[in-house]
Amino acid sequence: MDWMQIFLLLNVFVLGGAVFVAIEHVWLHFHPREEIDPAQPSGVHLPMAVKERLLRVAETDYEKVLEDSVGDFHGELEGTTKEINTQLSKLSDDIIAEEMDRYKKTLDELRGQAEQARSGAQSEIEKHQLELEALITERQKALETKFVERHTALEQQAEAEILTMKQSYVDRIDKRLADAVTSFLSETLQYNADLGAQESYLLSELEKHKSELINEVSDER
Amino acid sequence: MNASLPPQIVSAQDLTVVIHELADYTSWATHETIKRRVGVAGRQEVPVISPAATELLSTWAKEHGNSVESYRQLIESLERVIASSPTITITLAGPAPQAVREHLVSWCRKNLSANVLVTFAFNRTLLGGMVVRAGSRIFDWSLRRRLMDHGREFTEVLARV
Repeated sequence: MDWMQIFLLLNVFVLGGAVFVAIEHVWLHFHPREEIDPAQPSGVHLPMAVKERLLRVAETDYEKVLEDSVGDFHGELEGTTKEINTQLSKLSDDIIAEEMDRYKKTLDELRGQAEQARSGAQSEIEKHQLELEALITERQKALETKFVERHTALEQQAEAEILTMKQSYVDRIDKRLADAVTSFLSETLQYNADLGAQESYLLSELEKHKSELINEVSDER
Repeated sequence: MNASLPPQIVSAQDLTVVIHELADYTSWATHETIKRRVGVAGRQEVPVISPAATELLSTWAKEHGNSVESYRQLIESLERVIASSPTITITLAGPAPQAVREHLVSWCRKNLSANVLVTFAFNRTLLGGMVVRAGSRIFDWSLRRRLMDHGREFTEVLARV
């Protein structure tokens, strides 16, 4: 409970007191009560005219007092109302100011949170961006490595194929050359084969493979 | 009993020819013997047989007698030789001279089998050397084979030249 509420409760209490006094005055006006003064003797009799004059004077005084009381009450009520209005206005201003402060504070907090969130998101984005860059770099390196390996493998394969092709060409050239020389020798020697001169060679070949020939002849027989 | 073949008879064809010659000679000898027995005058001309057949016949006659029956036994013996003797084929780079043929056949009959029959053929593309077919195998000892087997060395030699 803050001071404003205490002040309002106090005002309500004072106002309640004033209303009670006013109601009591109204009640006593319409329901007069004879005061019995034990100090005075009850057997005093006043003339009627005096009584009426006293009654008029009393009524007049009573009305005057009542009017004064009403005026005072009215004045106090106005002051109280003004004060209440002033206090309410002030309270409203304070409340509004406080609410505005709270609103500003909340806004600041929200702004701070938003800023923090934005900063967090920014840092997350930067972190993710760094991770993506690292991933891209890694992938790029892997691709480069793979490319180099593939390139090397292709180079080696190409070199091997070229070497094989080259060897094939060399073999074919050698074979063609050997065939050409053989054909040349065949054409040259076809009528000049001196078998007489080859007799010792023929016999030596037979002698060299004698065991194989014996096996074959024995199998046939 | 089998006849031993002279070096002049090298192949089955040679032996077949000799057998035909001996058969003609035996037929002539049979006719002459019959005519002599019955006293028929006149004499047919003696069939001409090759020196190889003459040598074979004389050798056989020395051991088994000089009769028609002996000649028939010789022919049967030679036919058995054709049927049972191993055969090898020697292909040379050209037609072999008789001396070379005889030397080769003598070596074969001395080292491989006494009655081996050798068939000679020639193929000019061999360039030199010989190709021997014995049983199920072919031995290529020709110059052409040597050149083909050593083609790379041959080209290296040519490159050095």
